[in-house]
Amino acid sequence: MAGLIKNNFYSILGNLKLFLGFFFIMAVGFFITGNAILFICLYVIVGLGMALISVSGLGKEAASKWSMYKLSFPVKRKEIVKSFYVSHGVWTLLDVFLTMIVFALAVLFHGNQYFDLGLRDAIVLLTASGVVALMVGAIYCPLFHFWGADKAEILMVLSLAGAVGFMALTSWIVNSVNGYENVSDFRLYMGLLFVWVTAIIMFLFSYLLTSTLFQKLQME
Amino acid sequence: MENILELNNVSKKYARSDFALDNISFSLPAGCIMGLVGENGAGKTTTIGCILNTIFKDSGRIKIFGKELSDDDKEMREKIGVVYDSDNFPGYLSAAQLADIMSGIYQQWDSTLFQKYLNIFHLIKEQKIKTYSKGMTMKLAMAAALAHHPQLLILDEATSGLDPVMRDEMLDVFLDFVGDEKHSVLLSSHITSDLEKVADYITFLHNGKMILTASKDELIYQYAIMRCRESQFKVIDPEDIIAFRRRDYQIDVLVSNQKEAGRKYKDVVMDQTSIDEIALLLAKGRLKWQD
Repeated sequence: MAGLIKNNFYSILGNLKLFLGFFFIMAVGFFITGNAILFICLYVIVGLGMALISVSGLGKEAASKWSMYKLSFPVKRKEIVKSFYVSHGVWTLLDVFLTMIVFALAVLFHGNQYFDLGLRDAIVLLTASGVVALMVGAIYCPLFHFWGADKAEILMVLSLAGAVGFMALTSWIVNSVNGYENVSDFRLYMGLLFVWVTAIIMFLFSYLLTSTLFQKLQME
Repeated sequence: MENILELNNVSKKYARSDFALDNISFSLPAGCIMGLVGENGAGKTTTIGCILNTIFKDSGRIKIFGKELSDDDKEMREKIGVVYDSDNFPGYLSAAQLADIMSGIYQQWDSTLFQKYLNIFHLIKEQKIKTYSKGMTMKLAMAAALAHHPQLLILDEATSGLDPVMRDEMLDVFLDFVGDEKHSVLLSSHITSDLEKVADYITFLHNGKMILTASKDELIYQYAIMRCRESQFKVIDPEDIIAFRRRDYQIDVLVSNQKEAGRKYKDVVMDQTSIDEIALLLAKGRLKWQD
């Protein structure tokens, strides 16, 4: 498993370096100017960047016979699938962590001008980006193994749209239950917990689905 | 001699293609190199895919080290080294990164041995694979396949696209590998001259069927091609014919026992044959069971 995780890391290393460079430039721009639009851009890029890069690694691998070569490794097929999900989970956590740092530094440098409802807003935004990042992997991976690497680009777009749709749907459910009114902190956090738990269940379901698909995958 | 690899009546059909692998059977003893010969589309890659379980066979049995390979069998996979024809590894990796990955996958991974092969093959560890030439990537694939001490090497067209000097270097590596009589190599190739140099056994595939499997020495020293006129061809016992091919003014007939054929058909010109000629006759001629 360690080798497979390393493999996943190397598959995204090039894109990750580019991403971090771009992030650094944007972050410097924002922390100098304090511009709210730059803040939103930074939030979106940081919140989803690593998750999107994580799924792009599968497509990069498929450009060679590496995917087939991996099947001859002394590992079970489900371990290959599991390694992707573990990696994607880690990248999602890093996305959330990096977003938290950006939020903390934003408040530290420019005061609490970006969150109308203070900490509640920040946690809602963190949940939104974290859940979308997680769901991008949950949707992309089974589709990738079902439709193949030649559709990698469109699948990435579909996964992002699906992940945003999932977030919108679960938010709608929470808001419907809460009655679209000002809710207490407790009810809000319970709602966010519901969104997270649902996303994690979907992620695990996606792993089982992909494992089943991958078990039947044949490569020439 | 113990067989490292055995295939018994292995068949595979594709839903979206006419191609089918039909009852392939052969065995590879320890300490030997087997060449899998056939034109493009003959079924070499499908056979190798079935052996490695990257393609699921429909029927038949494949035994490696005496056992059927399953997805759970990590131990057996540790003992198999694989090299495909090209693009074995993603271009964004360097040899050092590849070694880092492999060391986390193979328990028997030997970094010192890998480095030794990199030195022998003049490969730079930090260089990205996408900047390697085809020959360099094949050498790297060989180094990676050998660095975890496999007992069985499976190579799918591993020498195709390489220049003669590089091919010769590779063949030396194979011969070195089987030198201790415990290791074996299954090498698919359509470059029959390579197989003539190193193979102990040759298996010919054509249109998904196995048409002949025999030791190389048998093929070269016992098989022969009779150059017959029509009248001479008519009197040949069909049992003696393995394959025949009509040419403009003669019929080439492949026979398996040169001496016996020489005794029986005294007035027929008989030539010693090569793997290339046998492959051509088997692929382009008519086989006796087609009559």
